[in-house]
Amino acid sequence: MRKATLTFHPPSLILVSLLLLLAPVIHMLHIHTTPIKSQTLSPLPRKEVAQISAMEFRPLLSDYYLVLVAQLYGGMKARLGKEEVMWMARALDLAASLDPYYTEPYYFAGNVIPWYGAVDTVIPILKRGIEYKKGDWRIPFYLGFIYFYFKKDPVKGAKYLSMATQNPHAPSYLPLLVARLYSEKGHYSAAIAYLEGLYRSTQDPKLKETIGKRLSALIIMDRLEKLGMEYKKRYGTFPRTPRDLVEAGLLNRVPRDPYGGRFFFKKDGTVWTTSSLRERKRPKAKGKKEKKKERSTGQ
Amino acid sequence: MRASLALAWVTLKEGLRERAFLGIMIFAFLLLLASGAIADLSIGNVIKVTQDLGLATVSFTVLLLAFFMGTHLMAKDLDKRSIYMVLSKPIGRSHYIFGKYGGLTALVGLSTLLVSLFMLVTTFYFYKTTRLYTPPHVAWFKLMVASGFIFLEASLILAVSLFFSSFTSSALLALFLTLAVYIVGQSTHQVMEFVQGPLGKRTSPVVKALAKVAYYVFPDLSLLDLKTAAVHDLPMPPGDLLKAFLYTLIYISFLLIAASLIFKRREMK
Amino acid sequence: MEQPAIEIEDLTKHYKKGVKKKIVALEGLNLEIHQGEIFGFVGPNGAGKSTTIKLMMGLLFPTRGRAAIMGTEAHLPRARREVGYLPENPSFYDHLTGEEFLLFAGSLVGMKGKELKERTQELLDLVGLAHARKMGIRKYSKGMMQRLGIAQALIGNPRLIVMDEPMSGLDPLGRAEMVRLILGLKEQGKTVFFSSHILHDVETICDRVGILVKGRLTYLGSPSQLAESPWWVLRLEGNHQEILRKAGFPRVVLMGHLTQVEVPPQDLWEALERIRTLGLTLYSLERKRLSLEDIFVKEVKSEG
Ligand SMILES: Nc1ncnc2c1ncn2[C@@H]1O[C@H](COP(=O)(O)OP(=O)(O)OP(=O)(O)O)[C@@H](O)[C@H]1O
Ligand SMILES: [Mg+2]
Repeated sequence: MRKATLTFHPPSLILVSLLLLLAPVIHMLHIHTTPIKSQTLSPLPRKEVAQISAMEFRPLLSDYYLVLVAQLYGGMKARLGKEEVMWMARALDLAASLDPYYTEPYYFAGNVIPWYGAVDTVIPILKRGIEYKKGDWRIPFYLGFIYFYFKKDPVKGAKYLSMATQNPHAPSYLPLLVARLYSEKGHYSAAIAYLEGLYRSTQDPKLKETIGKRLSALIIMDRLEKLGMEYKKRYGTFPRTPRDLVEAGLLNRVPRDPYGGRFFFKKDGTVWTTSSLRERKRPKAKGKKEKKKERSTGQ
Repeated sequence: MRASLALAWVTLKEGLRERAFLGIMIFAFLLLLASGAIADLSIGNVIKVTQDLGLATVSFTVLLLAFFMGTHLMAKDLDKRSIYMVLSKPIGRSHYIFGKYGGLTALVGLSTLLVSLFMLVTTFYFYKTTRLYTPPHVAWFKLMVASGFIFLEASLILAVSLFFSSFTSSALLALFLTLAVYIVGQSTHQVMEFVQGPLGKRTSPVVKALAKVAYYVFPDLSLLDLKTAAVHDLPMPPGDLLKAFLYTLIYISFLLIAASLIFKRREMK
Repeated sequence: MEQPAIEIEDLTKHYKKGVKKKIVALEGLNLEIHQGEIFGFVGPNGAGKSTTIKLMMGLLFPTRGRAAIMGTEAHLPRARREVGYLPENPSFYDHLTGEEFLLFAGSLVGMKGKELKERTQELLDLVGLAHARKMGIRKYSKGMMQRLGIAQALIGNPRLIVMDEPMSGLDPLGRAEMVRLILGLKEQGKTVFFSSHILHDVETICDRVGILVKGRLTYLGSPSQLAESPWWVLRLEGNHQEILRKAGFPRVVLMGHLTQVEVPPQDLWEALERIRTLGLTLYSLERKRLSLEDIFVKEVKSEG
């Protein structure tokens, strides 16, 4: 008499486990091929839960979240709302804690997210990154700039920027650049100095183009702001638009916003643009073609 | 000794002729072939992602083999009663356990070798053909070391599965128990870190004590996970590697001796 | 005194069934098998034959009592040095060929090299599997598996061979070969212990027979002892049932053109006299051979 045992059918069990591994890959392919419009933000697990349950496949899960972020960013640059930015920041937090030595999540967290908000979510990610990646000067560089520019905290900013310059792997132009961050007056000059540094340390042409675009917009805005001060000296009030500057003979032509918006002066004399320095909505067909992957600098 | 070797050889052959073995190998090769394309979905250093995917494929397939072959081949032997032919010979039950273990380890070792070699080949191919603006750095030797430690981990899993198979007659139960040990063994280190870290202030002392017990009773598999270190070319101090190796060896011996002692008292019904 | 090949004392095996219930598979078996004898172990299905054999091979452990093989306690691996075992419905590593399996079995008993190769060929010839030695066991027929099982039991040239139903699955020719093989083993001075349901074979080749019913040994003795019986069988030509019954003979049956009468020994002379006076012709007269089957049926019935 044999005991009744649970049926044990290795092939089917093995098939199920193999599919388990493939599931994230299939998901990535799925969102890769789905029109952006129909994408929804998938719920993200708690960091601790992900770290424990991913077991030895943490790096793979980290890659997975970065791919999700990259796809969302690549497809939705034009319409990144608060919700999307928060989601991206949290996904990057996951990616960075699942594989703390992975460079790309820090790059994203330091150079993409803050321009859209969620600055406070990004700071702890970068701080952890500094702990793990001691040889990498860029993470304190990103963080210093975030404190300096977005948080308006020059003391903390200086702490991290000097940490970056003291890093033995830091490029030779860095100290000069950091010095400029502090010496230059004006609203945008720090950002310009920072983006110049970023522009120089980035080799990927796609990313370089993105940085260059932002850099050129900021250079224009910086110049406009300085001209606005002059305008005020003469007329007692700030101009309202760049056209006022042209009419006053301070400027030859109305400058063009690379993002397709129009520049204007706020009441306090600062310059901003109707594009908010974000990509404008593009026709869909073109948008898809543009959605090519971007490659950053690697290590 | 000769008997154990003979049994190991027969077990290895048996494993090689299982259809599941072939299926897992084909799956591994296909996934490795596709790893470059899958990594391309990412941004930045896609070679890093290729390596992640490659090492994950090695450990996933090798562990899968360890789980299934470890529980399946011994249960099959008991279930079909082909074991009668072996145990009626003048060999001890422990020879049987060690012989089976030897064969299974050889099987898993062979597949680790095959899959990780193919992983290195595909990684090299993608490394040569993918144009990145900063040439990526690949620590080839460390990738091999990490693969070697995946084999160590699988050997430990095999010992766990034989330990459970020595007293359960259901392969499925043995599989689940082994899986449970693997999951706990994978997470104890991380859980310990959380419990001792800032998160620990909010955990109850009971949970803390449980975490501690689990940490000391179950194998700490995170010691054998060198995937991150290999991909990021982090230092691998030889002393640490040696310690992890000895730890695994001791753990395996302990499990096999326990399995032999239990199996000695088991009736072959 | 010579060491008995098998020594069994008060051997008892209870299987647990659920929490409280148990199955008594074997109860207080005492048995001694001598060197060089052929012992037949018979009994109805579920009598406990396989249980006894597995206890002897150390595959099961007794609830009570002990078994020793060649003077060594059965649970020790050492006990199996001089014994070959054929399990009931043998099952093999069927990914191997017959030859590979025999080589494997040989290395388990410590053989190697040329000796092992030669022994393998010899056994393949002996059991008639030489043609199938390169064939996967998966493709073997039931009879071929039985033959391979016998070959692997003999691989180490053991002094004792224990077989659980060696005839099962063999065709009549195979059975005859098996009988010859067992007798050949005896000629080489080996001891053979086997269980069987084929009573005719047991009767012809065994030196001694044990009948096991419901876990208890109910008969132990030689088949020739069994065959000795006090009754006589008389056969008469023609159908004389009526007359004989009237004449007071209790056991009369018609067998074809013969009428058979059975009489107890003390009545033989009187019966012959009476037949003569009735004017009937005697066709034959012989001692009645009580077959093992008759005893078997009797033992099982009296127990049941
Ligand atoms: N593993 C087991 N668990 C529980 N009961 C068992 C087990 N094996 C055998 N039995 C019971 O023990 C008794 C003896 O069985 P055994 O197999 O020894 O009989 P057998 O004489 O060999 O019968 P057969 O002629 O059919 O082979 C039977 O009642 C059987 O149901
Ligand atoms: Mg039986």
